[in-house]
Amino acid sequence: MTTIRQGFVILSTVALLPALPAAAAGPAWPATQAVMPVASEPELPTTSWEPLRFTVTAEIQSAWMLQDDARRLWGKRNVGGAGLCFSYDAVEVSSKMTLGLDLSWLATAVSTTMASTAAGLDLPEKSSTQVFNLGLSLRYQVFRWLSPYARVAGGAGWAALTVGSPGFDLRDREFLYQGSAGAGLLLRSPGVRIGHSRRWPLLALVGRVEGGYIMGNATNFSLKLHSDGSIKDPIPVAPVSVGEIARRFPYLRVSIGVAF
Amino acid sequence: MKRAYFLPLLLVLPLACNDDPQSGGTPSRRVMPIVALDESVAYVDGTSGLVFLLNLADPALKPRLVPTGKSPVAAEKRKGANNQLLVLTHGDPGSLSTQSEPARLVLIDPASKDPVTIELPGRYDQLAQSDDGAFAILHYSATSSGAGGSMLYNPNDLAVVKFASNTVKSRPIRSLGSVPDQVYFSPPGSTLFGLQRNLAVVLAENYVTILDLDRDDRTEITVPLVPDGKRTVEPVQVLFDMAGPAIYIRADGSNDIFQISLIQGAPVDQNASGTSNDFHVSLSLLGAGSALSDMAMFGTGDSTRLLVTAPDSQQIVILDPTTGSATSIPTGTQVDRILLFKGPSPKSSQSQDRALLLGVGTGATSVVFADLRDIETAQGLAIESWSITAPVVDITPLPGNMALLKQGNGSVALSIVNLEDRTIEPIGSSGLLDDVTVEATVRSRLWGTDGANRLEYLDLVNNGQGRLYSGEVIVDRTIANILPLAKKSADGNRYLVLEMLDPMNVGYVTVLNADLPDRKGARSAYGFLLTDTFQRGQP
Repeated sequence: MTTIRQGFVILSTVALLPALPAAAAGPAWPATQAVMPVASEPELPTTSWEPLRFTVTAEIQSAWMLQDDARRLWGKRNVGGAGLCFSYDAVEVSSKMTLGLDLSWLATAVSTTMASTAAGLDLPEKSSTQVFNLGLSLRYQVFRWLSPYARVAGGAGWAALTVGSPGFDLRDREFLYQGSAGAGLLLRSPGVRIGHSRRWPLLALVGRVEGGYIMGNATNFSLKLHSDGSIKDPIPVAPVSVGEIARRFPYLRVSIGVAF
Repeated sequence: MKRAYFLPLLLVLPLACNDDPQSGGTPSRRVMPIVALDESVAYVDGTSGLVFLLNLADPALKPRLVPTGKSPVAAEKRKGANNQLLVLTHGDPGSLSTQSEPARLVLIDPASKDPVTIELPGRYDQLAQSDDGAFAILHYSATSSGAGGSMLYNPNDLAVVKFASNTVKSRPIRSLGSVPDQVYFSPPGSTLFGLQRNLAVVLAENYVTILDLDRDDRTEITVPLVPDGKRTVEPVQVLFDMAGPAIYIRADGSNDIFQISLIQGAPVDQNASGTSNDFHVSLSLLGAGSALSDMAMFGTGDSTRLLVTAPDSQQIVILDPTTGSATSIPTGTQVDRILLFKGPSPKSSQSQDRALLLGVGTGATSVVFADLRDIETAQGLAIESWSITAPVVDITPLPGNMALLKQGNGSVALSIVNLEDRTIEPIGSSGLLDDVTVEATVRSRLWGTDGANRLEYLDLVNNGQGRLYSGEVIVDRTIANILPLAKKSADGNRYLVLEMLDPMNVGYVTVLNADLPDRKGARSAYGFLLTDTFQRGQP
């Protein structure tokens, strides 16, 4: 454990170094701190484990499509997505327990093929989702650098499906809403102050690993021939329903970012 | 420290575990040509084994999906007054991973919830129907691939389907070295020796086989056309004279018409057998010239005659089947097609048997009218030749003793022939005309496209707006096929279905009112072959 912690400290310090304008002019490394005194303010420790309330992370999510219809839509069992998450420690329930809020955005996009044509060509298919989630998490600090947490989230967004090639493509976009429940681990480094003044925030490297289950509304795309607008008054085209696709799947979310 | 490497692994592992269900070669979709039923259209998806029935009265044009079984190989409308779709499937011979499935003939009625499925004794790939849709004969094509994966099979095995009882009976026929090529059925309602009788004539190289369809237990009658086997003839056309009674066969490679007389009474050598037929046959050859291209039968009883075209010798031949005599009459041009009609002529108001003779594909620039009554005595006086502007490439009979000639090489030119007046009326058509569809049965309307998105129509008879009334409708995309439907839908409209250019092969039709075509009332459906595709488990 000590090894992990030490590694994380070193990693976070090295990672944050380029963002330290003051460090370029003055000392930020503990070894040089003593020989470079600051005139106007008392010396401050450059690393600290004091709580940091805000976190911004980039995340990758992997979802396992257990239903056949979803696998057919995505063309594979495992679908990856990427996004951003902003979280805030809203309430300190106790000295070790914190209630947090987060707002996240996750985008998923897959290009695959739907075997469909008589000529042996495959039908291009692009599916994507954009989901915004609001999460609530309860975190318990086991060590200063390790906090398991449980999280529930709810969100909304849209899913888009395009089938076919330009000129003869079918498209639709569906509203999504979903809820999720999961649990994970939060790892953080000690905060590194990027300047010698208290006005400079402490920055820490944060990583999360979270697993859980998402349940959302089933999508039922009604694909319609896409018009490029070149026909002034087009003949109405009946949409085609490609079938209801369930949205229930386990996920694994891994994120890394900065706490301040 | 080493455990920290686990983090990036967590990121990568799920993405690496991509067990794509579509990898490894998903079968490509094979969609069979559209089939027009009375009020709806059907697409058969060979990949999924589904029929997509489009009810045109449905504003949403949402197809009804009907499963047929694996590997459909033929789909057509059941003949006669039957608004039903017939789908012949190969089924699946099975493998270690898939269960075998028998071949089937599936009968789909748009008005019924469930299709009628008839399991077949073989994996046939050819379907022939009687004109009234009462019988179907299923057989194998000459290519071995027609057997649907069967390694060992009898290519001369036939299955006779009776739709009255929806039963099937295997009727293997004798082989004289060939396999069935075509099947002809006797006209519906025919009688033979006082009994209603349905016969089928199966054509194969050098021989024909006669089947009594009403009696499954009767043996087939095989008639070799070339008993010595020293030459090859390919039977291509059959005429039934059930009053004669006789069957006439024209064959490529033969200068004779084969006359098969049906004679009452069982064959002498089959008297003791319970499976013997109640008639036997006698083969005669009627010499008719060379390179015979078409034949037609006219007259009744003793005055029954055969009219045969022999384009190479620029003559027609009148055959008297009773005496075997042949009368050759020069036509002065190469005619290879016969259109029989009964009506008056400019010289006679009497309605009698007459014929329009023309060369379709011979390059002839004239057509010939023939008065068939007493033609054997009148000979050259009974025929009359008319010049036309360009060679005929196709002819379509129209109601009211009219016919539409499609002429020209390359660009399409059209003329209407009034068979009674013997006038040939050109229809103005610019070089833009790409293809035409003739709706002969309902409105006598001509539909044409320019190979793009322009649909034009011309009334060949007065449908209320005057004869040769024309109009046009511009649709959004390129028209590939025009299908006027025969009957009105439940909403009281009769529809015209335009099959649109569909490079994705996902189904694209535009629907218009066939009687009052108008862009404002047009509707389209695109992609309907993908209906419920994610739920079906099929691509």
